[in-house]
Amino acid sequence: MISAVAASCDKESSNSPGFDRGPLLENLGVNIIVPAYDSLARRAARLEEAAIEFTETRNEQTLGKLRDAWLSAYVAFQHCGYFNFGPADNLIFNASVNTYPISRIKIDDNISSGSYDLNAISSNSAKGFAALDYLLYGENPDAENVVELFDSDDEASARRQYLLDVVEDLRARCDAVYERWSPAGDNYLGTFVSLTGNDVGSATGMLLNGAIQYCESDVRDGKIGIPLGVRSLNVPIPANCEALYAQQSILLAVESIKGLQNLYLGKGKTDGVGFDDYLTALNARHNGDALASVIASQIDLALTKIAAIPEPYSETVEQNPDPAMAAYQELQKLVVLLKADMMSALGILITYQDNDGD
Amino acid sequence: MTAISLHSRLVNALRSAWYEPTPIAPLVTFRIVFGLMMAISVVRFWANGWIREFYIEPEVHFTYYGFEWVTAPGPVGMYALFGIMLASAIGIMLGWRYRLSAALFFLSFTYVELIDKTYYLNHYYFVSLVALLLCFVPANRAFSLDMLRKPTLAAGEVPAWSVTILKLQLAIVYIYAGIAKLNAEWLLDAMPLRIWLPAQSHLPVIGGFLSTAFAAYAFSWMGALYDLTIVFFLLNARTRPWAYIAVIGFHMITWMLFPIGMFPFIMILSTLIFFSPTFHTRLLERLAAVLRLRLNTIPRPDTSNTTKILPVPRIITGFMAVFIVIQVLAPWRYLLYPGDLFWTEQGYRFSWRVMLMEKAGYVVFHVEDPITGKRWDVMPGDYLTPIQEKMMSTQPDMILQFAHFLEEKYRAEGMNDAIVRAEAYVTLNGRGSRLFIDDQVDLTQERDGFRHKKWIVDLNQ
Repeated sequence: MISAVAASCDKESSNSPGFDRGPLLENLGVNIIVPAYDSLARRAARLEEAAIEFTETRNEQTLGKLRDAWLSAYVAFQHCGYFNFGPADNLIFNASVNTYPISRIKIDDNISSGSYDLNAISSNSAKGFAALDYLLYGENPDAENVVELFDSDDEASARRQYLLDVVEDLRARCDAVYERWSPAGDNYLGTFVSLTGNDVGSATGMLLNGAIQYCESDVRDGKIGIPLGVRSLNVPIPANCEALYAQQSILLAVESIKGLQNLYLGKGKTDGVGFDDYLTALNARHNGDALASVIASQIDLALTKIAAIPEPYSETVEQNPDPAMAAYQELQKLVVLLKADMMSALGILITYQDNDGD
Repeated sequence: MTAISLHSRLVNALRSAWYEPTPIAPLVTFRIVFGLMMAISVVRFWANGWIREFYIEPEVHFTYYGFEWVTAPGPVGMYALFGIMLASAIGIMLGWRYRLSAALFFLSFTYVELIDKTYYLNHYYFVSLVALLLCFVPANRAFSLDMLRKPTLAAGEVPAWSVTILKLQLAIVYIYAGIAKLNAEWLLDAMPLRIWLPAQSHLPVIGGFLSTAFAAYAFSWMGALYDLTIVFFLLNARTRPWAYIAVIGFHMITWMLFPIGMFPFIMILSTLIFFSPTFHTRLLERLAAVLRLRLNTIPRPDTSNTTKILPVPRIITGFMAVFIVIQVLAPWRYLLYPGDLFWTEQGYRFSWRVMLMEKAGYVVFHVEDPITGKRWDVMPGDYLTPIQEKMMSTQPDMILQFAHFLEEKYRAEGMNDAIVRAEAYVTLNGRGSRLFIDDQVDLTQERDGFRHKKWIVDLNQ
């Protein structure tokens, strides 16, 4: 009975005028994007505090707190990577906080020489979350060993300074991108919710083009496919794992899919209007099923398959690649659904070029 | 008896449409507005940065079958081509070295279009065809700089074919665009407008209406009716003013709703040619007054001419006949191929199929080294611009071209005979995405051509 009522409501909504993108953008901006950046900025600040505390009091306990703060901020970042447009694009945010693999040589040189400019683009591979992964875990992640490197090693003092500089750079960048979005700052949020069109420069267009691109190259390829060797003659590249030294690649990949899920469902602190509602309002179909639920199920499936990959991922890719390949293939299907089916159903344009629809 | 009179009436009609003298004014207006629109189009293209984005930055281009020799000539060459295009468009408009201008415009424009089929638009094809026709018609014999240079050129009348051929060209565009809409998806499902119109729900006033199924059906049926009949209403003097209001309304609506660039304006101004010579003479006189030009720039029609037949070189009549026959037949060539036209796109281009389908896809290439048996994936986005990738992912001939590009790339890196397979998914008019290309086929073993591409998966499989 209830489902019959729901079905008839569905029918009506498919014929009644219009899905209003305004509330969708409002929810995405207010309930998801700004809180995600806010959370990242707060956790980055705690990371900085923990780093200062560790450099002042160097022991296994402060190191443990610093590592936790690092992972907590890294998890927060996984939810933000999709917003790769507007402020994040202008600030080259993603690349400047999460380029990996890092260059160990560059980091070691920077520490030894003490002369480096973290603002240079060439420094992207020597800073950010991945550089901290190397600094806080490194080749020998044993806590005693790491504390020693920061405490009594020949370069301990330079290493401490480098740690502080990298953390400060990271924190400042997280602050900056939040500031740009925040209504109390540059209020890009206001701009975002006002761009209600369907062209490339509209909020929906920028967000989806950026998010799907991120899903392809940074999630499917970066986190899963590239270490697995799908882009490199089938030769695994374990060194290209995210959080390689801390061995948290899969945890971060799972978090990143959760970020996508929230974005798709419109779920922040509350469950609001998302792209699933948009697709439902348009009555978009996928081979007989509702496209909205097909995509939601595919996200679930990808999440399950990724969670099933054994950590450390750097060993899995060489010794037990099958679960990783299974996850990669589900991500592949997800990208098809997002980039072809969803974009097509929403009528969002991908370029400014003239088009006569053929 | 009736058969004979019908036959002779037809001959008479053809004769008057082809050989009889007709005032030059409509042709002159057409020349001026076409040159002007082209000059604006080139400047717009340039200002948008599209010369660089479309023709200089891409690493690889998708040439047309048989035109593989057409390549992008590098930054200097590209800007030079567009410089020639701009200068010759202005030349057409002013009637300055008119035939040279028309020929240069046709060649430079068509060459640029042939560089990459990614950017194929029916309206670019239309521009190429009209530019070719302008090379032959004597549109510079009034209201032109050529006339000042060489006063003997001046003529008040031209053989009727030179106006008729342009009307025919416009008739082909509209009528075939209308015929293309006579398919079940357009008429019965209101696709793809049912996807495209609700995307415009943000527009003030009409946004809500556009989201209704009624709007999609109304626009679909009205569009088909418009395309099929507008030419006949334009030909008839009594209905012409109303028909022209419909032309303006129709094209302005499409301009508001869809990113179709200059096309609406080109059509609105081109269809002026259906108006009477008197209308055009007055229009040009007014233009002359505004520009403070001498009035004799538009010679009066020579009323002393009693023969009513002007000589038309046989070669021109022959060429035009072939030109029309090709265009009349080309849109039907799809019937020679099995499968769904929108899905396979075999025989799709050059047929005035405009705004007919919402198609999107995704393709990954699986490459295998036949010696080591190793396999890996190639993402086309690594080599293509977003628009190239989007266009390729739904068009089989482009997918094939990219597979061959990869084969050559790996050959250059020392791997002979790489096996390249495509895993492609496409969604068409709201159907869910499904396999598009047989993912077991080594595309490097397949050749492009006019033959049916057996490796396209059947739509309903």
